[in-house]
Amino acid sequence: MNDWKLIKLIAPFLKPYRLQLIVLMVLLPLSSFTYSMQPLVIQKAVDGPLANSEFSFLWIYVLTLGVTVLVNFFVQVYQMWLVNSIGHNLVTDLREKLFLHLESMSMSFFDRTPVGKSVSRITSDVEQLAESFAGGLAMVILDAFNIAGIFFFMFYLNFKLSILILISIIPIIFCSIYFQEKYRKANLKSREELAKLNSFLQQNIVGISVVQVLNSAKKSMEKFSEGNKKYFKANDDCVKADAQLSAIIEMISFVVIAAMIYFCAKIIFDFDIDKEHISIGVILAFLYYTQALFEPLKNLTDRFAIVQSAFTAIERIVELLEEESESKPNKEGLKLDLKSIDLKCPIVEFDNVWFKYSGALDTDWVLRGVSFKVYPGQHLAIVGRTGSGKSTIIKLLTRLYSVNKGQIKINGINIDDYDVEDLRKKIAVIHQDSYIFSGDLESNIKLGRENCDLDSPVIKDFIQISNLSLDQKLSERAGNISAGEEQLINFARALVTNPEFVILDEATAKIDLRTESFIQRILNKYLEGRTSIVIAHRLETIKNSDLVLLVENGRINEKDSQ
Amino acid sequence: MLWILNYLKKYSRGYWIGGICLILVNLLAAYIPQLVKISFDQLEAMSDFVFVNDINQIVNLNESLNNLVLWIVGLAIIMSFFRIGSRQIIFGIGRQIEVDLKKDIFNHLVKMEPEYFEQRRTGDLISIATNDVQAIRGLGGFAMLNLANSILAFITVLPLMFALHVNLTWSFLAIVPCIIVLIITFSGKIKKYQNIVQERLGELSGFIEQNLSGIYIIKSYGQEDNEVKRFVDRNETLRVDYLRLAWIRSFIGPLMRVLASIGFVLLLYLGGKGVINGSFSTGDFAAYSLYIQRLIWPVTTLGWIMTMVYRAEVSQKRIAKILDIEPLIKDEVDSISKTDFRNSLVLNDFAVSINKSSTVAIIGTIGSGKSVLAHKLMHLKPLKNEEFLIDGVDLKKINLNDLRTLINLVPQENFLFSTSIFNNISYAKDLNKQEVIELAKLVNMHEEIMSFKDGYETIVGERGVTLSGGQRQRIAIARALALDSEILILDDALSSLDDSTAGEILSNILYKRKNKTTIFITHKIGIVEDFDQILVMDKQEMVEAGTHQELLHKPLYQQLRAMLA
Repeated sequence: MNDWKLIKLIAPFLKPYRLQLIVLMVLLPLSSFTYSMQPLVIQKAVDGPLANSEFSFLWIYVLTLGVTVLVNFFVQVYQMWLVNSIGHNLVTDLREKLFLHLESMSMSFFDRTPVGKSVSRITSDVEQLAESFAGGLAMVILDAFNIAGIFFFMFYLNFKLSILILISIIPIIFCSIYFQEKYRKANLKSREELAKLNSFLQQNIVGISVVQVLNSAKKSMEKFSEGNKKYFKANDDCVKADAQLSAIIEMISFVVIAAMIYFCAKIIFDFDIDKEHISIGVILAFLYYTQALFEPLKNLTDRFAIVQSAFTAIERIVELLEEESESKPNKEGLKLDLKSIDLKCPIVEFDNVWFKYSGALDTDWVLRGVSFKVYPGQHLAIVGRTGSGKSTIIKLLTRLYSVNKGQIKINGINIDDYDVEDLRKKIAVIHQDSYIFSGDLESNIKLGRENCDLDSPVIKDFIQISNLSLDQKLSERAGNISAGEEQLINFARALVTNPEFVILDEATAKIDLRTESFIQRILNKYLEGRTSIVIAHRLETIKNSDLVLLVENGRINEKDSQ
Repeated sequence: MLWILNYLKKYSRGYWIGGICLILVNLLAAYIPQLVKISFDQLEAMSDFVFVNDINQIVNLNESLNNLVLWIVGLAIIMSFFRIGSRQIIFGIGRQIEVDLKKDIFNHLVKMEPEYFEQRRTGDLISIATNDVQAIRGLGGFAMLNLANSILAFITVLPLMFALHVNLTWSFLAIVPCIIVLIITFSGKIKKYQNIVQERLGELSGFIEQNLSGIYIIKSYGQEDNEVKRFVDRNETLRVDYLRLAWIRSFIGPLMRVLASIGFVLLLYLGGKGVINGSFSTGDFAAYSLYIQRLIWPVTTLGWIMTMVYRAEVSQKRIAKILDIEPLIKDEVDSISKTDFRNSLVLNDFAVSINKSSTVAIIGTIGSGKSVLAHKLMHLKPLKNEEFLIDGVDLKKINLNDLRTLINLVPQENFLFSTSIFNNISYAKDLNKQEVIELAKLVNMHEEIMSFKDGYETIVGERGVTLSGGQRQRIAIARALALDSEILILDDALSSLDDSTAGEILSNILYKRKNKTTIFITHKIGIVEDFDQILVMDKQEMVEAGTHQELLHKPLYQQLRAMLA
């Protein structure tokens, strides 16, 4: 993508802040003028009252300089405030937009995108943008105006000297760019090595039990030490480049003074009545101007690099924003009413359904023409080996993915016509994997839903089996409860809204058989008169089913009505 | 703060050399403006001679000026070499200290027991090993160098400024403390708000990470809107915090520049008066300007150094908090070396003996203490004396390295490192391609791995592709199998697989380990019937033990098997 296209895509986010932007534009010439005018005031004083020993006029120049300094200070503060606040407002808006967008993505997006990648898009890339806006783009513009102001007054004071200084500055710019570039690269390398080292550290902390149970602490220490050495090497290069850069900048500022003295001497030496005279005040002003010219030069490549990284950040953000949710869930669709349905119409009908995960090869169909029907009140069981496609059927049924060929009907109507969020609320799925949010058990069961009944007998039963209390604190990733207890929470989550349609996706894999038999008893009672689909690889869990499907390689190989 | 000095002391020689370089830099930097002063006075004189057309004087002055120019350039070049030396040496020491500390912290952390990490947030530990260590680096490098540099700048420049103009220098010095105080106040505030923002950012990214990791659950329960609401709340708080920080930050840059500007106003007034009454030359004016500019950086950094020292003080406490806590489990002085397994492993609390080369299954209700037993056998939890005996030797006394070479565990939570599948399998032991493939075949993973686009080079873990629970479990098993330890404990390591696949993999494992001891914790009772010993646990107790045949009539075993029939 070219830079202009990126700017166009990001520009709408600046719209709410156009007033501030206009004020900023108006202030730019003012701050540049008050900044670059200061040496001129001194020059006028030196060549005026000081040269003519007119003490009574000196205070006018002192006052003018003082006012200029004050105005410049406040304008600069306000300018910086505008730049920073626009930047942070912009990225806060952007962050919200990105999160909304992420939440609307289809599951296939999350399958192919690592969590860490999305997190860094919405955090560090967005931060980078704010940083770049304030520290890069805005500063480059401010500097440009300041340099323009300086040159304006330099040429106004002495054309020939300005030209000579301008020419001698060019090689100096290249020289400083060379060292700045060297430092920037070394710094980048050092940050990369640090990131690698941190990620290694983090991995070893998260996986500390693996490190210890496989007796790899020593190996890890050696590896860390190796990474640390690399980091030090990169750091060392960085320190060297930094030392060179700052020494060169300091040296150059003196060399420019020397050059200016040399040119002034030459101009005075070659003096000819016809040519313009160069006064001592002008020479003094040039001393200030040449020093001031170097201020922005010191950070030139840094700022361009920041601007460049802003474009990288924008590109990544836009890439995420342009990623469309493939299934385009229908939010305004039909609402499923399970309370009043036609008992003769299948509540679920798979009609020659074909499916493969996006990005998979054409030969890697997960489902190859699956057809079946479930009538209200029926209990369906799906059995099959790991990877046979059982769970995929459930993912399609809850619209986490969309079919490639064929269709799925719910209550006789195509699944795409339903409001997807409503559909997911009505069909309760009890998953094999669970995810514990930090908070107490109650909030983990409720998940922010309103229609929860924690006092229903079935929920009470589950909480009782789990031996947990509702106010028990649970930590993220469930460090403090067992895998079996996590699955019990899954049951409570699904059943707390008293759903009419329940799906169990290998929900008891981490639960011992005795507890499972308790669960089975509770469920049998609950599911009476309701519809259910059970996925299992243990045959014992499907004894009460009306219909059993055996799935093999994405096909239904047996249908067995009991 | 004292212990940190030991890290600095090691490099005292470097500090001395760096310090000498700094002295030379500052002397030269103070001397060069004197040459500028002479040049300006000569330029003014030359300009006067032009009007009276005194060719001799003009030629002399021009020659002298050309010499002065050469001197300025020459001294500037020499100065830059010393500048390079001082920065390279002292900043280098800072980086060296950073590396030393990092290594000590890492080596300390990998010795801590898993429980230690359950009580602490990973992010906090990383932040200490990174940000707090960097604060110490800042102290040993940046703060040391700039403190010395600031002091030397004042020592070298102030006498020369006084020599040029006494009253002017006093009035300039009067505003310096004001600016320093302002900079300290503002940078203190910035630091404070920055910490708040950092914390909020951390919370926000934690929230996003949790949300995305649980997206399957969130979507299945239609919870997106609720999550967005929670996100917006946090995001708006962050906006307010950011804007507060931005407001304070807007002052810093202009504040740094205003010192010089006020200096110039004073210079124009008092210096101007001096020029008019003849006590101050234009050359003095120029040199004084350069001195003012020269002092801006030292003054500004004095403010920063104060905040850096304060920050390092806080950071060293946080680092000490890590380094001071000894691991709960570590080798005692009387630890024993034991590198072989000859006869039996005895579980004294349960009166159970496990023979060499046997297969043992542990089953039981949820929360009955099976995983705790596995962790105890690895000595990841504190043990009683003689709780376990290996060939009669107390397991507690065996040094950790030997013990964890003898016994390995595949934990229930199958953590994979964010690297390639190849690196994960060969994590604990360096393997060649062929060996890795063999292990993958053993756990029925080879074909699935080959179906990934990058095969064995596929990156997994947080930053890589998402594997199913069953795939992660199998890779974790292969990783442990590589070590081929005397005793291997598999903690429910096949739970995500169907019974027949699990059974196949289990028999592969047992075949490979036919002369070794394997302990298998599981809920899949059906696949362990021909194990040498089956132990049944309930409520942290071992309630039944024996072979399948012996257990058939025991009540809990019957109950646990009831649903199999």
